[in-house]
Amino acid sequence: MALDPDAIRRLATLSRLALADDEVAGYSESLTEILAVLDRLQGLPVGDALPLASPLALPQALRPDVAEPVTNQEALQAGAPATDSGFFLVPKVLS
Amino acid sequence: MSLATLSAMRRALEAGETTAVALTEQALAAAEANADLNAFLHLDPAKARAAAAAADARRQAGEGTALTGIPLAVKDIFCSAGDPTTAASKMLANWQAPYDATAVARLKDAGAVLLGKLNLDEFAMGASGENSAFGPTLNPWDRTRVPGGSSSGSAAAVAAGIVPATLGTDTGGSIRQPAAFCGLTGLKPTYGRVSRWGMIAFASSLDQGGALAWSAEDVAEVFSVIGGHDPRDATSAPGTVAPASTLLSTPVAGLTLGVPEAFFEAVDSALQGPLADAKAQFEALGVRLKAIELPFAGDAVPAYYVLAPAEASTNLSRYDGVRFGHRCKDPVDLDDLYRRSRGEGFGPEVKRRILTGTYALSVGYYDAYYRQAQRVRRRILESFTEAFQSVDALFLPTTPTTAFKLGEKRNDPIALYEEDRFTIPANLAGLPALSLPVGFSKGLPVGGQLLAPHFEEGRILSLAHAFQQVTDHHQQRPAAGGAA
Repeated sequence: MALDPDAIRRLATLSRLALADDEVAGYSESLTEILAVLDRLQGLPVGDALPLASPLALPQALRPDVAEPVTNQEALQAGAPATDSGFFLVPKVLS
Repeated sequence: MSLATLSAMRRALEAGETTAVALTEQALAAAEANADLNAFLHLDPAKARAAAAAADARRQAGEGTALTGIPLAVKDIFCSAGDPTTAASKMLANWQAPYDATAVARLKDAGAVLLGKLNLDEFAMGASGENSAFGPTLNPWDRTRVPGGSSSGSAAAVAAGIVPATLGTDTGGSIRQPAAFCGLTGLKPTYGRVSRWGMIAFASSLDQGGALAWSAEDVAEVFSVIGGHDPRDATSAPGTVAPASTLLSTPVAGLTLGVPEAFFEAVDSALQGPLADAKAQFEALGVRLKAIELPFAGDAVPAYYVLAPAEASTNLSRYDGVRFGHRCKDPVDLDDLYRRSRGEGFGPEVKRRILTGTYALSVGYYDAYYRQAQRVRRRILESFTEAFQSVDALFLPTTPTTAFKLGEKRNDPIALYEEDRFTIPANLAGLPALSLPVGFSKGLPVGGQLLAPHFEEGRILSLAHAFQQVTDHHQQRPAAGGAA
């Protein structure tokens, strides 16, 4: 199935990715080619195989519910683009 | 005396013939002499020298471990406290990790001297090293060729003789393929064996950290330190990893090695000779070869390129220009901030995979692509389980070709995806897999791959070690300057 430029723009909106027009054209071409490869999945005789999400059949690992200092707020926020008084700053959401 | 391998360095340190400080100076000089390879994204001589001095003091106090004083380096996808940690992305160009990944912390605890952070394909997405936002890495064997990817710097730094071992990660072959292209031994352990804590996520059900070095012996030494359960990673497998000497001690005579002939028929003719010689060599070691079939393993590429991008599109949603990483200038609203920060911060291949993953997970296509890929994944796992009923391990090629030219596949994503066709099945099934050098073709290294059942790293490390006792492919070194 071909993914035309409008389909790429819809995916970009869902993915929160700003794309230039030439990028949209390029991805339309390459994703169409990639989908042709992925479509090989459709004819495979998997029968009643159950979907496999993770390769190891291990029980969910739990650890003691004990609070443990991992790193501090200051260190975590040091890499943030904009902070104030321990908060992350974003553009105004409500006008 | 050449101190190119971890084992040789360790012996020299233990005998008092050299010091961590001397080895570190040698490594820093080699890094400078090979700066054109672009293997390092971040080199920290001051920190390395301090760690080396501390390692020497520790050895003098009689408290050294096998890795104490050994210069190493890690792929820049592992967080290391206070260091730039970029995943080779503009998105994280100015980000410093606030903590150590578990694998990094374990190397530091063992007294290893970490030189810095190694180049990679952005967010580990690539098979050539060319997808780095900070420029491609070159192959030390031939500087006009790629070193493979995504652990491109991890392979190039060892092959160039800068450090004797490195950490890499392997989601679809990213340790084994560059190991093969650079004449190294590379181990992707069982899924869950090495903690993912502090390892920047690409595809969480596939990502696995591991090591690259010249020999299985050296790889085992690093793996025994970084492996084992970590309560901080909910997918970490239980149990510890045996010491290197134990990992290498499985007797190989009498083992049966499964050989899926269909894989060998699909490699470039230039690789056929070395791979055939390797099979004969294993037989000479008393290993029995058995032709087998692996149904569905040949269909791993489309399954992987649904599942990995789907997981990536979810994992990479965290880069939103708010909590860390790149933020666009003057966003007009929150949506604009998200869209432009991500559009500017991610490179072309990362965006391609996010779009592919979003497609596979979207309403109307989820069952046809994502669920179907998960069903194929189940059949691939079953196919390996069935094979391991009659064989102890598997031998197959690592790559379809030797290292290709820089730029040769740059604009052909499908050709690059197909590069992974022999390595991806082990990731989908979570199996331990190791690539080892089995010979050369036109001066370029050829890799062969060993796979074992879950948690049987020792079996393939022992097979590789036995092979390396009677062959010298792993002792070949590129000419200085990497002449073609």
